[in-house]
Amino acid sequence: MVISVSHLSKHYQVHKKEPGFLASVESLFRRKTETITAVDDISFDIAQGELVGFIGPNGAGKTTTLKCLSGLLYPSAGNVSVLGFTPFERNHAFLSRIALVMGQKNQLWWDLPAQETFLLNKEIYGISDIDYQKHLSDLSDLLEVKEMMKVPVRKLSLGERMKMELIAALIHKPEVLFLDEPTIGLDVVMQKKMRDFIATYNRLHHATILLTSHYMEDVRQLARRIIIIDHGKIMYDGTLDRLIARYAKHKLLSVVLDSYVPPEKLGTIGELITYDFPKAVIKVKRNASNLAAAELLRDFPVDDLNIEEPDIEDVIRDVFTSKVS
Amino acid sequence: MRRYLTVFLLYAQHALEYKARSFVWFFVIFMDAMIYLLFWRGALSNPSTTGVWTFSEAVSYYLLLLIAGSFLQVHIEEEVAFEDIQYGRLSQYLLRPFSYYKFKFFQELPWRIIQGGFGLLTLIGISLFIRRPELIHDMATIPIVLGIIASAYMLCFLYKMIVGSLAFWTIDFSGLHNIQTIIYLLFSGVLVPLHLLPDSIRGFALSQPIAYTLYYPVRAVQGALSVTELWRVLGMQWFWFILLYVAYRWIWTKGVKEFTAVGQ
Repeated sequence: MVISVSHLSKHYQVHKKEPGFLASVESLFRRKTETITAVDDISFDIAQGELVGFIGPNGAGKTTTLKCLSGLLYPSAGNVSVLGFTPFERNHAFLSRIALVMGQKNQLWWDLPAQETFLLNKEIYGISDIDYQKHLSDLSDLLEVKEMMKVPVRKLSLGERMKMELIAALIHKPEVLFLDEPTIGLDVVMQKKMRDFIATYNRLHHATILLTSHYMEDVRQLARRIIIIDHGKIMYDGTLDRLIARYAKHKLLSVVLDSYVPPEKLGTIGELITYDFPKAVIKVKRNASNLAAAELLRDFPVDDLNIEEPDIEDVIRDVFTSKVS
Repeated sequence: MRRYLTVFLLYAQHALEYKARSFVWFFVIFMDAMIYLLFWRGALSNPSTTGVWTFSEAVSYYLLLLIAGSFLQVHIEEEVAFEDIQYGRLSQYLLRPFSYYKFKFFQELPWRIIQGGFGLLTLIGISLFIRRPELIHDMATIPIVLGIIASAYMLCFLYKMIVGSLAFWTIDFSGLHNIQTIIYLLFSGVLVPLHLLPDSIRGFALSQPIAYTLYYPVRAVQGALSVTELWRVLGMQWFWFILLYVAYRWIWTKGVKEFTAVGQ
């Protein structure tokens, strides 16, 4: 296994104060602290070349886990092994083989062209001139930013900056890549380009990638396996298909009608979600979807019918609300 | 009226939250007065010290301090504390196979060279048009003096890295930073030449590490130290460097475990 996490926990001490002036005076003499558990006894393994989606609501513990895996944070308990190294020791051989990219933060020099940061990283990672030129050329071609590398970073758009961030993080060809919200703030076109790039990098370099994102489309398009975390605990670890099969209680019948049918009549099949003649979407129980589809075909003027899985967002919301592991 | 009371109470809470900062601001005013009191007490009550401190020497001392201050006085601690540790930019250094200490060392060096250049130009201007400062006359001692200057820079850098690293344990670094500034101003010889301080604190002031970052290099360039004293200063600089480096490694190892990489 490239990544092995066993009973990892991370706690923080935070100060607490009640609102109001009197509470401030009290806090002068007696400060209350509280232990916050960001990650609570989680375990998982990731094999080489896997691209795993790590998802959860804000404050679920995703970024803390990524920081523990990349060696930024010292775990409170448990063991972590990445490429056979203990991340927090931050052995240079380990750091040369990983990268952590955070969507909202950057390592680029604001007032200098991105190329200067690439050159600095070339020296830091000890990359030969030939390898550097070739890899830089490959990455800039893939991301279509060849012309932008000599422009000061402050003049680049958010999307262009994110691409430069990726080049800076990947210039040393990391075998393990931690991506924390890589598409945050980007428009849909740029999001797609980023997704395509991540998929290509994963395929070409057989890199192990752990990805967090609030955009389910990122996860749906990129990751076969997902890990869902909430309140520091793993709620689900498996394939996306299995997640849907296990947690989605409904399916959606997407139908195109030949002639108008009153909505109340369509409602006898299941819950009518939308109806804008000739199109209608009906929510039916998962285990009865085939019967409902047959009934629809038999009793209604159907021109076209599709049985669809519900939105992944809805399924994941169900996981969070049901708290089933 | 109620709204103003709310604003008042809100800012009172803020002041209580940053109580260390409030205390330090008071302490700065207090120390300013105390330093000048100490200086005049030392200068006026001790004929042995005033006897060796001529007006010409005083002018040279402060002129040389101009360059030494701009070239040797490292200011890395604020960036280490505020930007790297408290705002989390340390993450990007920790993730790369490179020594953070060395990175910061070479990051700071160009600033010191450029600012030292400005100081040097100013000194040349003053020497040409106003007054020429007293400098070392024994050319044979120049290599030792250069060694003292280089060691002073390294020692000052290390000291400031230690100060900055204390931000691992503080919520509000500015209070600590202000205290450090007072200590540095007093014990580096920026405000008052250390040999003019009163007997009670002169011994301590001349032997503590901060003196070796600015005061002794200036005195060495002034030609105020004998060859034996120059070697002693160089030896003490390295003694303090080794001692502080051990302390820095300990602080760094402990501190980085406290790092929460907040916001990053």
